[in-house]
Amino acid sequence: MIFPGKKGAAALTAAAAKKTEAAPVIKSGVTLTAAAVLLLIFTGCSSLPVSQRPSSVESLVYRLHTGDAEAAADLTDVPFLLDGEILMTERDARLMWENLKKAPGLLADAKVLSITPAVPADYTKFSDSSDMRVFFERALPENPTLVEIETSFGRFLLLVSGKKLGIPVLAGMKGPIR
Amino acid sequence: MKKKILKKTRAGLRPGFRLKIWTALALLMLPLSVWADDALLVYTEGEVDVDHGYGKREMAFIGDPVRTGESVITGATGFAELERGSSTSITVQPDTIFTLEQTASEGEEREVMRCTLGSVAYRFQMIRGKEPYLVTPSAAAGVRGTEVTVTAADDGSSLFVVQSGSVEVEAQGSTVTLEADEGVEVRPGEAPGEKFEVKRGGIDYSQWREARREAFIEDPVAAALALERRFNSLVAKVEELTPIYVESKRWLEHEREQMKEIELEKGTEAKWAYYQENVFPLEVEAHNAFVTLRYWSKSAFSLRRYVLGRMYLSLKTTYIDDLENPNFRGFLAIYQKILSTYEEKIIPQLSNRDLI
Repeated sequence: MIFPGKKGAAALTAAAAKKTEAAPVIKSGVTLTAAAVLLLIFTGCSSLPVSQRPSSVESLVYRLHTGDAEAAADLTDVPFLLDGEILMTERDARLMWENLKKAPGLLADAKVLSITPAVPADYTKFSDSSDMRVFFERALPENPTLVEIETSFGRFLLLVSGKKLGIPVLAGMKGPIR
Repeated sequence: MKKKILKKTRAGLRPGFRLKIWTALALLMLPLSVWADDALLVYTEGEVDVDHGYGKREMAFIGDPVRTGESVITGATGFAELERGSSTSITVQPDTIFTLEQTASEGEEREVMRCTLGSVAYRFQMIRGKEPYLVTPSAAAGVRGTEVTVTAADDGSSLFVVQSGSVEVEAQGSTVTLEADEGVEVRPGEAPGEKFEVKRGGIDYSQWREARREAFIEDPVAAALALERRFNSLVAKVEELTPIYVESKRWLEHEREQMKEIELEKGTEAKWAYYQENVFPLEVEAHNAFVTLRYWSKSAFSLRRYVLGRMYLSLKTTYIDDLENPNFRGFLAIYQKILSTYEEKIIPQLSNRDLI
């Protein structure tokens, strides 16, 4: 699916309006409603944070899978979560990916099951601890989103956020959830 | 004549007012003393962040202050130099978490420089007042006119190497004194090891860290047990200090009530006299008890967050395709015990701000 962005949506609406002039058989009220719906759809899509767009999330998972440990660490925000831990350094991110890359196929054939905005009350999904509660209340990154994925290792819960070169970054991972 | 005017002016101030000024000045000195302990970033290279607490972490720039309670976190290629006044120079190596804190000892506030992970070199040319504590997950050291490098490994072990001056390294109630060109390793939950001689430039700190890391991966259960011993000794300290703090706070509140009654019965002058003699010493005592309790609570927090956290990460990701491995399961059992003690005994001593 291609998302045209706000400017694109406006152009499409204008084109739809022009078409209306050329087709007088269609009632103007109906055409206007259709244009408004189109506008809403397109602006709605483009204003969706990158961390909540299915294609962007899939792209992140793909890059984490195909890139080497360094590339994957570059796509990992610090601080980041691993199960109930809050890891604070770049070295932690590198260590994690160096080890995970030794488990072949961890993210191969990963299927995105759900994408939902993360809220403070979601802390228990990572760990029912004071550390996690405070992190979710005070330190959630930009546009935090929970992504559930299915892999051959089992189900994982990812926390993704913001954007880096147009794709979101990983801010947390829990799993495999049994 | 001048003398007379001065005398008259002094006499003209009501005693209560004089005391208020004195108290206000004393209170003003508290933030000033904190400000005086700030360090300044004089050089940064690569990725260097300052963690201000409460989730506020920013990229650091030359000239930024680092205040008590704040941390400098360096990335894989990060490097930072800090100065405190003209007498203290601190070099933070890559992959390091360094924090400025404070505690109280023998009735005086004492600066704490904590190296939780990584390596920090210190040079103290002249120390005013109480010498600072250099703290790692496994030990604390007092310094006297010293150049010393402190390194903390992933398993909570630490290495102290003295270039000049003298350092007293304390862990689990035992102390070792190091002079120039001497070093000592301290494993978590153990007394300092045998001190050894160091040839200039003869120690590769990153190699030492890697060796400790390999030993941990080799036997994670033994490493976790050692960390648990250290963690429990910090918890015991917190438990020992908590009633002392609670009691000093209770006494302080009681004496403040007494002071109010004295004011009603005998007037303001008597109230301020009572304050100076009875309340103020208790305020100092309660403050010191609070700062000391926080120091030990934050030591336990650092161990849990940074050392145990990295241990968990290392093992979980190493055994991601073999989570039933006895090494991982054995580690996990100890890990969960530490977390449960942390939640029960340490969390109540910390604020939300401390946790992020």
